[in-house]
Amino acid sequence: MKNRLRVLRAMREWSQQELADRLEVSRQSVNAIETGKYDPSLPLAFKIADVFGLQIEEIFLRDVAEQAAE
Amino acid sequence: MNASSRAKPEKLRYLIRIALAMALYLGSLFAAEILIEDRGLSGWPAYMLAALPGLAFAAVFWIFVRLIVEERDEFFRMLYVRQLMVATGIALTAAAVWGFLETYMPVPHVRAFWWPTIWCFGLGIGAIYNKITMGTFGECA
Repeated sequence: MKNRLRVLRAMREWSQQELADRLEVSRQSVNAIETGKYDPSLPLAFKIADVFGLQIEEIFLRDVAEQAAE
Repeated sequence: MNASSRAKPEKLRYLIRIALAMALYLGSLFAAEILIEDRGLSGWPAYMLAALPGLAFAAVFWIFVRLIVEERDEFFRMLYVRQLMVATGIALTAAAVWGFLETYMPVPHVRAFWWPTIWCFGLGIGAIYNKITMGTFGECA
């Protein structure tokens, strides 16, 4: 699943550690989510959305292949 | 205080538990060597003492599972589970393969306590696997 986490974080000039502190997770977690290696759970996705003041679907994007299949 | 500077109590508990288990392991091993091997302790006390190092070793499994349960960071929790699965896969595969080799081929006998030892080495291999595929060893590497 793709996401706009890195872009949104850059817009706010937050480091990965700053975002991790706001989310109460490790910096490695933020890095893994940003690089698409790890998809967060729904509770963490909601927390990310709350931190950025956005809807979940404005941050996490479905893969093109998934959308095409529907 | 941010998350990076905050001491993680679950990690501290893990380290304390490992230290206690290792102390019990070494203490019971030392006691078994002296009381059973040197002084000829026999009967049910000897059986109990002989089983104690193994039970202390088995505590490592419980300690690692407790770490997974208590870890609050879901990404690290996943890394630990992956480590556990790699270690278990390696140890059980090695035990199964060697068991059949012993049955059908002239290979030396391997004492059973080596399989959990291999499991512990497997945790290290699991951490390396995490580093290669997920970019981080996890905190228990």
